[in-house]
Amino acid sequence: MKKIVSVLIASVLIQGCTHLASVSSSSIPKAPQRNKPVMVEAKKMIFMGFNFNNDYLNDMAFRLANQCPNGKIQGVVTKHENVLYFGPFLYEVRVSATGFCTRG
Amino acid sequence: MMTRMKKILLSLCLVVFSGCAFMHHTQIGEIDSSIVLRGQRFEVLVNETGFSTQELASTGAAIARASGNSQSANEIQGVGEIIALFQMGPKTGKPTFTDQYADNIYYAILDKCPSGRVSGITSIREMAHYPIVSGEIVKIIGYCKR
Repeated sequence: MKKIVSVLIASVLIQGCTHLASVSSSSIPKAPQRNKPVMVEAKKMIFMGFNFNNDYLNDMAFRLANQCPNGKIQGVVTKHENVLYFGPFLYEVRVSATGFCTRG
Repeated sequence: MMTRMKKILLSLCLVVFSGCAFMHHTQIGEIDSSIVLRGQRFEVLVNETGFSTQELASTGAAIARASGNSQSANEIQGVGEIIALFQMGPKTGKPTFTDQYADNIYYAILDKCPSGRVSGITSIREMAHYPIVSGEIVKIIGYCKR
């Protein structure tokens, strides 16, 4: 019994896997304009694959804009990754967007 | 009789409650904060029905097996496996009969924002998954300066 529990605990701890699903980038500003990076992240923990919407992504652009209220955000790199905690039973979908706040 | 009713009810529950949303890809474009913070948010959705012949075959085989016709079940399963061989390869979501459903999304955006001054466009490619069929969806969220 102890062995089974140990194997289960070890499998949970050891098997943290990440999968990079997609990356995209918009055009990157010139060097002098790359001094104010901005970043937002949206994530959702999904249990047994039950996920009924992807609305957690809806306000990412708005949250980015809030970090640069008087300018433009360029060089936006969007990264979508899946982090598996317990095989297909429990995983996290993570989307991050980074960019540079430039003067408008 | 009761067992069969239970099976039918269980199948119906699976169909009704198994609708799940899968996200395949997200992209955020450049952001003009004055438009995003002070403009009007809009959303454009285009979709196409995905159809899985393999899942159809598996369901058909399961029904045939449940009704005691294992010969037919095996034949249906065999057909499903042959189809599966032809549909192997890279794919996103379930197969659709056309991949042109998002080609005119530019015009759909202009419909929502006739001025064309849009910013903060978030493109999401997702799938609403149901047994056998799926909604293959492209969603665009953006902000419009009127």
